[in-house]
Amino acid sequence: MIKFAVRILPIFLFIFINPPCSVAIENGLLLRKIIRQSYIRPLVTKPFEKTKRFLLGQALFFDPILSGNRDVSCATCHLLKLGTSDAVALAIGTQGMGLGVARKINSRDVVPRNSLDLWNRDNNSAKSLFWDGRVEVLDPKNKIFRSPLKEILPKGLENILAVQALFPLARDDEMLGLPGDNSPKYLPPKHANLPNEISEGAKNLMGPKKIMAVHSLLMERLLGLKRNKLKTWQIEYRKLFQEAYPDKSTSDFSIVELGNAIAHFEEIAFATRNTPWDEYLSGNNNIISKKAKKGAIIFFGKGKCAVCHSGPLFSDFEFYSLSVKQIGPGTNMSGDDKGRYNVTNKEKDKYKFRTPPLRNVTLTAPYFHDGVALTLQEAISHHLEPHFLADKYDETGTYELNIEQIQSLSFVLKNKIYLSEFEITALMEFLKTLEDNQVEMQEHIIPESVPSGLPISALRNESIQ
Amino acid sequence: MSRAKEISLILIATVLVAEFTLTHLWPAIYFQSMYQEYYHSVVACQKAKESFQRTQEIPNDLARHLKRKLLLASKVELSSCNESEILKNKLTSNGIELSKLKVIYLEALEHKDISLSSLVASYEEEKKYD
Repeated sequence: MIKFAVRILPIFLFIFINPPCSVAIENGLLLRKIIRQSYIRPLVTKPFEKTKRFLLGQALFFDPILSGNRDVSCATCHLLKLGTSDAVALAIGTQGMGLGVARKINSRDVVPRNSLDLWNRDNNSAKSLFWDGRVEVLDPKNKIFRSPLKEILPKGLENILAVQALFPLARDDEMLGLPGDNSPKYLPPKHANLPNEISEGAKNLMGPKKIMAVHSLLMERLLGLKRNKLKTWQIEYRKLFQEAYPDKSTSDFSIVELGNAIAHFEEIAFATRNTPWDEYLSGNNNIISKKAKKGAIIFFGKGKCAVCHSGPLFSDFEFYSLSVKQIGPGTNMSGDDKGRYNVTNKEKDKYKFRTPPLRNVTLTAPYFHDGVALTLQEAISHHLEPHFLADKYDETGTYELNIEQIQSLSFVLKNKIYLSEFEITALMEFLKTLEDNQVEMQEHIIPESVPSGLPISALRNESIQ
Repeated sequence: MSRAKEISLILIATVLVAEFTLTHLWPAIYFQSMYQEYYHSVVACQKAKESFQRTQEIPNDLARHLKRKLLLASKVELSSCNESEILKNKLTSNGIELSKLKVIYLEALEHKDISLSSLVASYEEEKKYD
């Protein structure tokens, strides 16, 4: 009988007692509600297709012949293996050596800003490009853009990405180099130790006129439009341009076709097509973890992240100051970078930078306009305590942040956001769901060779340290 | 002792043990295991209310679209109050007295991340427990 009592007691207790399990709300249901309310949809991307224009854009993107000193290409600072960025705080342009974290400056200073990634700039969500938004789309339908070329921006550029592609070519510290430069001796003999005729040809010009002159000299180098005897790469590029634009003749080809081809390659090659988040949005509830769902709720709620990181690319492409500490030469070459102010000259824009998109954000460290945050956790923590450095000094004894940087802080962050360590890790788990898990397999977008025969800037799987 | 008496005694003992477990032992165990979770949910809810209040105070002429998005985010954040309420119901249904919950609630209001202004605002909320 006692045995009987011992047996029934636990059953009795089990029936009447409510076990003390966690009563956290089912995150999935809440997240679905948020998604419905905020009209969040899976990202639509263009299908991968190697068209003739893609092939031209691919060659141009990877070919260092586009740089004055024939030593850097777009791919030097936008490496697929490093999330289409370069893993260093500040980019290193012409005259640099090595790639990614191994890249070293030679005789020049660094580029004053962090290399931005190139993911998903194809769906017309990108209203502005560059950290300071110096290239903007004013009317996407009629293809009206604002850029440093102002009213002399050539007609026919198809999208903002094509406009953007024109400017690194004409910057001394990125791809152009300086008058008097010679190409490096280590290049193949036909390219080694040659004068930088592009920079030389534009040396007495400034502003938009210089940019236009650089573009024209570059097209001459690529296609030999004024020459009778063509170089091998000029023959090859003429063929590629002709195939990509069959309705045009060689004399019609200009920087417009070059920009459009690079943009076309970028939008096809650098699209995130396999992210867990988009699959979750398509209805697969179990593709992301419970912790990631919690992170998403924090992202859209308590963390206030979605206030600025909104839309399909997780950016509103607007400008805010986060009171980020400045490192490197800055745009004025004396350690200061006023960001958007450099474009608009408006006081209210001082120290504002464009909200960076977050797709594949886990692959694109370091973060912020000067790459001062080395990890994603550091970047998130800065949002929570933007004035952490306000009353601290650097090694020279000056404040880490100046008074204008402190005062410019966005009001979104002025109201302090509190997140626990668990919440930060949940947020990071959510951000991980924005990562395309097929990036590793996209090496096929890297060509075996380029028309110039110059070495390609690419980190392949076996070369990663 | 007869068989019937024996069964009666065992049943009475079982009922007494169950009664003691349900009214004293179990609530104590439950309270211990859920204390932290309830405490943090009250803090989260309070901070959510504070954040919502601050967002509402942002002048309308200051970037209207941002205010709208901030309000949306604050509303999502307020869902933590629902979580806190569910926990409270769960605790009371497991025999924990309201007075004990009030103590936790007051402790939570003393959390360093909750400002004085929100303490005033939470007075009304506190009265609900009386």
